[in-house]
Amino acid sequence: MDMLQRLRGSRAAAKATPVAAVPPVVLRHSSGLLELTRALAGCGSIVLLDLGATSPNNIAYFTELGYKVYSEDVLGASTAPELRVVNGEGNSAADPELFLQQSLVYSEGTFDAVLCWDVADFMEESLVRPVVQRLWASLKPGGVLLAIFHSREAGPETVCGRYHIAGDDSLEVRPLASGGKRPVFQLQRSFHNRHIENLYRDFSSVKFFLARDHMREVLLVK
Amino acid sequence: MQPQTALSSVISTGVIIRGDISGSSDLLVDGQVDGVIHLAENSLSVGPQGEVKANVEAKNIIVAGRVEGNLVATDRLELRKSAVVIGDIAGARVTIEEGAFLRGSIEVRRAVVAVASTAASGAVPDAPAASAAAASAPAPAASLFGTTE
Repeated sequence: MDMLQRLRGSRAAAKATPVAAVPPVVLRHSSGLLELTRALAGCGSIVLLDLGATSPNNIAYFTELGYKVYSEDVLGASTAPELRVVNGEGNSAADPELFLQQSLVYSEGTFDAVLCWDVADFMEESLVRPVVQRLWASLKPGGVLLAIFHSREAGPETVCGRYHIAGDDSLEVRPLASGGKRPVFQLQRSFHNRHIENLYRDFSSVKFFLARDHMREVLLVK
Repeated sequence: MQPQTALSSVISTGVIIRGDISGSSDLLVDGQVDGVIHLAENSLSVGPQGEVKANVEAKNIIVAGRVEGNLVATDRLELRKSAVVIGDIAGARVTIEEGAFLRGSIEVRRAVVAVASTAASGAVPDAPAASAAAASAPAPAASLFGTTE
């Protein structure tokens, strides 16, 4: 049997699976992304880390600019069963030490830029601060990090999305559907600005961009 | 260009191979390989059930299963929706389908960048319909996941 036919054959079963209702794709303006691309323009060889669900668009966008791109889906990795431990309160939680032994393993000062998207909003509480600290260490001095936060108006039904760069100042947000292998992540919390400043307190500067769609973009500089 | 020609070698489900593999024919891995794979002028396909722990060099590499190791394709490298790759990838033409899991760097080794996606072709991400559409698409492989040519 042809090699590709074998691969296609395994997908044939998927035809019978009912298609889950998928929330709409959203195209949104991103001042934070625009600021980030401006900050990186003319900086020579850029090394960038994308922490969202793997995005072919983003990889194409940045490799065309000559950047070296790293991709690491930290939310997807955080659900690994081997990370689960029982914490002091008797609840199951992801162990940050185990997580950081496997994920975000980079030398200090590797990256010029990190695209964090809204990972912090959907990540387990036990991992958020350790991940931010690891990201800070992985950035070069002067490196930039772009994060997005949902505001209080965003309800628990807020969909975790895949962020595709659609232009210098625009993002396409495609919901991660339940039909795939990925779990659908739930909004864990809503950060206030003060919480965000505290979470990223090691960074030298923080710049907020308020959007109309219940989201805040934050550009941080190490 | 058709990355897959005649199927010559298959490591089937349940077969485990530890060691270096090199040769002059295409290879499909549906079992497990632990070592190094070098197929200078040929293609490696890792099927949905395949598990490879190896650094791989091949002309074309298509991954639908799990790979731990660095992948270098002198021509085309494709990560399909079900792929899980932990390692750096490099190729002249890189195609990554939405839903693929990648932990590592991406290097496109030619001036013309050709990273394609299902999004570019309008398919719905992560939905079963997307994979069904891909599965029913006509050969060659280049047309399955995007417009790289």
